Amino acid sequence: MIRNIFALLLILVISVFLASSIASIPFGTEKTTVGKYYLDKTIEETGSVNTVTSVVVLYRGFDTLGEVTVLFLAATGLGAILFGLREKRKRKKERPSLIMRTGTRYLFTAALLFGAYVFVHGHLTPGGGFPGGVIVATAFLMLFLAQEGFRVSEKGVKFVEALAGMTYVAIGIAGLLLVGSFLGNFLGTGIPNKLASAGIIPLIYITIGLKVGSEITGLLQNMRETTEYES
Amino acid sequence: MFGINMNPYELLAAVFGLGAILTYLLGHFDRHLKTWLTLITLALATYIFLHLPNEYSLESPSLLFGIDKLSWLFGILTLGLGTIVAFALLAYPELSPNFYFMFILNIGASIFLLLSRDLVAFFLMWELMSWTIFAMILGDGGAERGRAATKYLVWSAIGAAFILFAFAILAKSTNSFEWSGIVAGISQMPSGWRVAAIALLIAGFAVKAAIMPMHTWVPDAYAESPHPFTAFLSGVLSKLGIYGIFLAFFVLSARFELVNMPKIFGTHIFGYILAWIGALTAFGASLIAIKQEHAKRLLAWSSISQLGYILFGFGIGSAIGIAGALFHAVSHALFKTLLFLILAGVIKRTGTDRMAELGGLIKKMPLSFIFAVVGGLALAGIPMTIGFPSKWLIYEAAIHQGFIFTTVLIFAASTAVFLYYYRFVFSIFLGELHANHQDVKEVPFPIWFSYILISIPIFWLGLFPGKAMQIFAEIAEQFDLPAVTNFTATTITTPLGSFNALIVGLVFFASFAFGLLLYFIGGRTRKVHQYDTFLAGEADEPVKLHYGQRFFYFLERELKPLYRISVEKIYQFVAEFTRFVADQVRKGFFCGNAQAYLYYMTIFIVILVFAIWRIKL
Amino acid sequence: MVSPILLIAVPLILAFSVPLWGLIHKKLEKFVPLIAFGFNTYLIFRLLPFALTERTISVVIANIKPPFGINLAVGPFGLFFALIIQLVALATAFYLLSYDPPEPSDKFYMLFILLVLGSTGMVLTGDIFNLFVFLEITSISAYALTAITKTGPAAEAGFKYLLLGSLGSTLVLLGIALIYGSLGTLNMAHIAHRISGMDSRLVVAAAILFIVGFGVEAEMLPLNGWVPDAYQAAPIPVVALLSGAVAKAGLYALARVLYTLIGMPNIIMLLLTFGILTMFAGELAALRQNDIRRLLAYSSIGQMGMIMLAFGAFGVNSVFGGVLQAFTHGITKALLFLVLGVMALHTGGATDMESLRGFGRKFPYWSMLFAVGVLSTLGLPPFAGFWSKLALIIGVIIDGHPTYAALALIATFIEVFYFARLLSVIYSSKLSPKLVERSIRNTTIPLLSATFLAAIIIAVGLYPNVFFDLGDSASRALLNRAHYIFSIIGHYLQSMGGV
Repeated sequence: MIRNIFALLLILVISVFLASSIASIPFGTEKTTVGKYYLDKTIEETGSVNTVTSVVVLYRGFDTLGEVTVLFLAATGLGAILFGLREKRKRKKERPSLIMRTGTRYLFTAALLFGAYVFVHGHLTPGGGFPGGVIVATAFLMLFLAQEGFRVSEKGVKFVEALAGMTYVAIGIAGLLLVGSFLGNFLGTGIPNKLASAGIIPLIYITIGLKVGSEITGLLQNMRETTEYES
Repeated sequence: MFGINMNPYELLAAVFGLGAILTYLLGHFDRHLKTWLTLITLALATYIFLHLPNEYSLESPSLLFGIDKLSWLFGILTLGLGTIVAFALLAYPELSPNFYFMFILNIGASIFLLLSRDLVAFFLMWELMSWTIFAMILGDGGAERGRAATKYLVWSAIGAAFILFAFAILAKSTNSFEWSGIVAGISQMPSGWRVAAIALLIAGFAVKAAIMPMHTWVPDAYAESPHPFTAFLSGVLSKLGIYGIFLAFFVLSARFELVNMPKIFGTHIFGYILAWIGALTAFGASLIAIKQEHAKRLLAWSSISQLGYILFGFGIGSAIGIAGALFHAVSHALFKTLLFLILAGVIKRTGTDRMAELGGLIKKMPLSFIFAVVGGLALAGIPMTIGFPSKWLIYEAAIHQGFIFTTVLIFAASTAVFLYYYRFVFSIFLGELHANHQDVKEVPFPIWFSYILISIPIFWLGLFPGKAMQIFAEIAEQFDLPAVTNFTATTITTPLGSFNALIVGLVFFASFAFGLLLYFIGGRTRKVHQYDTFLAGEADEPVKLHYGQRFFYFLERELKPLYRISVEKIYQFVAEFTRFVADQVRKGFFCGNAQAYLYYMTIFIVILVFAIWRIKL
Repeated sequence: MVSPILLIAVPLILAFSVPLWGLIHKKLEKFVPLIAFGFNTYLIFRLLPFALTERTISVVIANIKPPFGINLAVGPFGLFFALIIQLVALATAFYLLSYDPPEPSDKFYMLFILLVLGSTGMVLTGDIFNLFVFLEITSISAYALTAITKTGPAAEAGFKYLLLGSLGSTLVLLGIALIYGSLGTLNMAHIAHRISGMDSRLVVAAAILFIVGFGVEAEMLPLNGWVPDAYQAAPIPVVALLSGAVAKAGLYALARVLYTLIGMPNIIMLLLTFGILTMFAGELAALRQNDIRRLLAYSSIGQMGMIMLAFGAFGVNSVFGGVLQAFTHGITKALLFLVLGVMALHTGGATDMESLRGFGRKFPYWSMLFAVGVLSTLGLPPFAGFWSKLALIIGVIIDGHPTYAALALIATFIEVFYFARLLSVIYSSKLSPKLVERSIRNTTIPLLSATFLAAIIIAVGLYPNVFFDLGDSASRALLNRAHYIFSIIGHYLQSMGGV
């Protein structure tokens, strides 16, 4: 009991500290130089009409590469630690219903297409590589849940993941070679609002989409395979 | 030199470095090769050393070296005794090439230590010299050896830390890392820092010089190290600590004349304190030597005691005092090396240094006995040997300066020398021969030849001390210290009196010879077998009546209260306390409980918030 | 084309490619880290002469100039740490060639490369959010690698690390948020330039968050509870990296943030107190340790404490000592762990002192390598550790903190004791019954790897001048805030009308 009170007190102090600090931040004032710059210059410098995209992929593209790596790490780490782990569950698994089994087969393609649409049009509409990739993974998730014995080829997942990641870095290196700066846009900005615009942004988003999609699919499969049900 | 176009200092370093590496690599091929290679290395090094030019500076890293009279004196001592010990090592082919590697490195480091003229070079060589000793004490391993070596290294680290700290203070205050710069700038230092730095230096060097209370590593280290090496350790390496104390006390602080503080008996108070420490060390250590059962430990405590004499001489700080102390440093180096080598020989032949188990070896090892007597004469300060002038000078200095109590302590210590020395000789050589030792032979040629080599300067300087006095006078003059100038080749004159070493020595020798003559021709003696004793039926015959155990029990009984004082107890307490705290830290803090760690983090944030952010609501 | 960005890009592309190599032949996977870090080490040596010039260059990414784009700030301080990381990584990667990785092996190698990549990124970046991203990369790889052997202790150790580490990362993120909220920029030079305009209590708040956040990686007290367990449970090559690379990167981040961004001497001097406490805690805990792995872990904590103390003294001389000591410690600890790994091969995996008693009798060369590491840690010549410790202690005294230097020296007495005891056990005349002649694996490659590290230690010990120059440049660069700001965003500030 005492320990809980003590812990509560500590947390109280820290909360006061953090709250008071945040409170003294000058909200509502014109202080962000960088943010404003992005809003003003996004179309002219990047050719993308989606500011979020241009920030994510171009202005802070290096961070995005880092985040992609972090995601990759999380999946890899999980895969490494769960490798060979098999937990037996006593519960009987229920067989998915007819509706699920049939419906998912058709929805799968639609979801896949939608996911691809999201990450290809990242520079035009909200979305981008990450959500798009997740949608792709959801498509596979549906199949995992509904189709018995459905497995994705491990090698295939690894292959796509690896290739996508390498392509991302390769685009960066191409930028280094062609424009003198890593991840520099070497394709020009194009005409805004057209699909083939915004330089390397769609390319990068495509690689991200493929990478995230395959990664999360592999992740889901890893986690799924750790539990064995009694049939 | 040798037609090689290289700076002699670099050549010297190369000789030591290559010598060490070659000895290590080639030493595996033949048992004696490593010793011969060592001897060659040392011979080359000695030659180069004797021909070194005055100054030298190294570029990368920037180190400064040079040679002066003081360095020359200690250097010759190191190289000379090192070579003699190396020669004796021919009788110890079981020592690994590792040992020789460390030995050569150690001597090299010691020499370059003596040649260092800037703080970084000095400290570098000091540390190199120190850890090679650790490796040599550790030798072939063994639980006791490990403990002794560890104790040594920790003490050495403590001493080195003092020295480093003092160096940093000096460098910071005088803005210079070179000796010349520091000596020049030291008078500008605020006196508090100055005194602290020099006191720290002396304390740091006192570890190596086995001055109380920094001496507790000595008995264990000396007892456990390889036996011929102990001779070198005690004879030479302790003198490096003396060298350091000389530099700190005389060169840096000019005997503290720079500081406006009181004088006692005409000596600055710091000298007085040092003299007291030296006298107490001399007295205390010799008392402890009396009750030792192991010969190696006895000699170890004797060494501590003699080093106390040297510090005492330094403390007095007068011309005679300095000359006497330096002389005693030289003489102790010589006779201690001799004594330890003799003991090494005895252990080699009998396998033990427990004096209760030895005895009667005079019949089997007469040469060792003769030289043990020589060593003993030197230790006790009997004329004919080098011990006499050095001790005489120290006594004169003490009396002349008017120190009463410390003089009493020093005289008492000298009396104790007779006691423990007699025990040493008696228990090992005289008395009755142990049954196990019937087949013991004399020590092999390399060892007894080294006895002869060392005895030569013991007698030479004992009869013609003027040669040594010459060097001491030059050293004193170089450093602006009071010097004894009134001497000839054979006589030394002080304000209190003078003596002619040659005549006194010859008189002693004559009386000695007379006694020997009487022994051989006079008196009706009948030689009886050792065990032919008559016990009036009280015990089975034959029985060994050797008086070897607890030799001075009656004295120990009387001095019991004195023996209770022990610095070691304080250190044990500190060690226990540290271990206790360490356990608390390990089990209490690093408890392995993740929740606890999170608590630590949260508490840490809260502490920081209170400490630097200061809650303001 | 010798662009520092390749230090990150090349290992990254190689890391992604590992599974592809594995699809061709499984054995090819283990060469990838070696290729990656071989290249990196080569690149670092090409960049080194530049590190001696005391200039910081900004490597612009995505062709958008700072402060609007991300940039790498490649200066002497960052390059020096990058050098440490690459050298340790190279030696460890070479060691991996004869090492049996835990399954799945391709993931192990990928995580391995990314761990180093994260650390390298942390020390080269010039953008604070980028620093956070690389911190995440480093931490997550570290968590996964700690637990990768999947034993009970490994999982527990990984979990503890994860707990403390993610909390730390969150705090760092909060700190970044506070700064961005007030200043509107994420570029480190820009923040440094503007921070005087920020409410000072906010600055202190951010400083607290950063200290705690980065302190976890830098093994600072009281955030280092994860260290002993992690070092014991993780695979040996990983431990070498944790101690040699990751901890250094964490320390770099702490130093960079406190010196360049926040720049308040009072806060920096807090490191003196935390440093000495960390040092004592580490050394005391090591004193009672019988397992050599844990002993080295605690020793690592102690040494990091000493380096932190040097950085806390806030002066050119002490930072000089701290930087040198960081180098020496990284290389030396890596050497010690790698040799320990081989030692364990001869005892069936046991790493406690009794099992290794007498190792020196049977394996003189390996013991010599180990002794080199120990003697260097203790600061004895002619090894690199002598120069770095000397510079550190003298530097701290010269910069006006003699009490802390004295305390640090006292802590080293404890260190001398347990290392001397360790050496006497290794060179003991008694042989442990567990010692076997032949090891499970071929030990030639680890031998070369360890010899490489030992050679660096001895070479630096005998010819320290280049080492001193690098350290000098680095320490000056860290303390020269104005120069940093100007190098990165000077043109921008000028275009905004005066600096």
